[in-house]
Amino acid sequence: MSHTVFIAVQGHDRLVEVDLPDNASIEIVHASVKEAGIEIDEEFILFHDEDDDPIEWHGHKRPNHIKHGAKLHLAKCRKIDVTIHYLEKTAKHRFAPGARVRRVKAWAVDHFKLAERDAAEHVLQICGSTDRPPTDTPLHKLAKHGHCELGFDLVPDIRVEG
Amino acid sequence: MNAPVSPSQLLLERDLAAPEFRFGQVEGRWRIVSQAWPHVVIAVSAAPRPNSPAEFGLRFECSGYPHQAVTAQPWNLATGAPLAAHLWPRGKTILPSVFRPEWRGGTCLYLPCDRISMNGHDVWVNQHPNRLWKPARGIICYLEQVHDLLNQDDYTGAATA
Repeated sequence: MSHTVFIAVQGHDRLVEVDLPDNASIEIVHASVKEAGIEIDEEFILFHDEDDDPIEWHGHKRPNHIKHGAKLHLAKCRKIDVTIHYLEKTAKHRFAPGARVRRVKAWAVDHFKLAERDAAEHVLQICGSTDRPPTDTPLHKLAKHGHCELGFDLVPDIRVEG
Repeated sequence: MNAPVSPSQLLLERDLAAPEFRFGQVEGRWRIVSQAWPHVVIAVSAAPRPNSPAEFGLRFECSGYPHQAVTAQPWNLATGAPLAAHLWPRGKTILPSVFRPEWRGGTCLYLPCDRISMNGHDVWVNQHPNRLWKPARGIICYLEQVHDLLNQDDYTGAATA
């Protein structure tokens, strides 16, 4: 049976949708991405969603945990080094390239021991910008080209007023 | 004879079929309920809260899409009519500033990416750059904001119909 999966490639904004049969090989994944007009090389590593470790995929058998609708990531970074600033404090942690902004915030809230109300009123903003990415955004999408690091400020969200 | 399809309608249909939108559907973040140009009704899922619905309907009006921003009205999916004010989602701080039934008679959300609400709010360009309408992202940028609002700790739930 064929499963539809969605592939996000580091350095590219759009997702690639691919149908993978049971006997798909990793070469089919690479070929599908190239067919979509995205250039990749052998340095790209394949991850499943927010998993810490790359997918081990040998031969012509789709790994069992790649279900219908799964999100895969082709990333140049094995990990993303994330620095988070909150008030006068700074914390660092390494995340998988497919980890989403929501996971980083949850980690920061726990690390900085924010009260529930404070946590609800804070968001992650990319350092040196006004960009507050949607919480479903994978980290590799935010890392600058060729970099495997990312900085956030944990800042108060503001009400829409005026 | 069939009426000609406008470029805006074609561009909306392109975006509703794009992998970014479809992935959100597969993940259960949103789903299309109905379409009748220039409207599309989309249900956006919400975090579980006691005695609250699992999703909220929004009826988007998409004329001029995507160069012109869309506008969206909370929609009662059961009755196919505007959502009564007492059924709108509630929250502690941020969410009540966006879901304001008294604003424009409840016809739109108070969001900088909403076509109706952005009128006369030039200050939002500097205050909320991350909440502005982005033609290149289209309806996804509106949906992502609403989904984030309904799935953050600030959201406290709503009465069910």
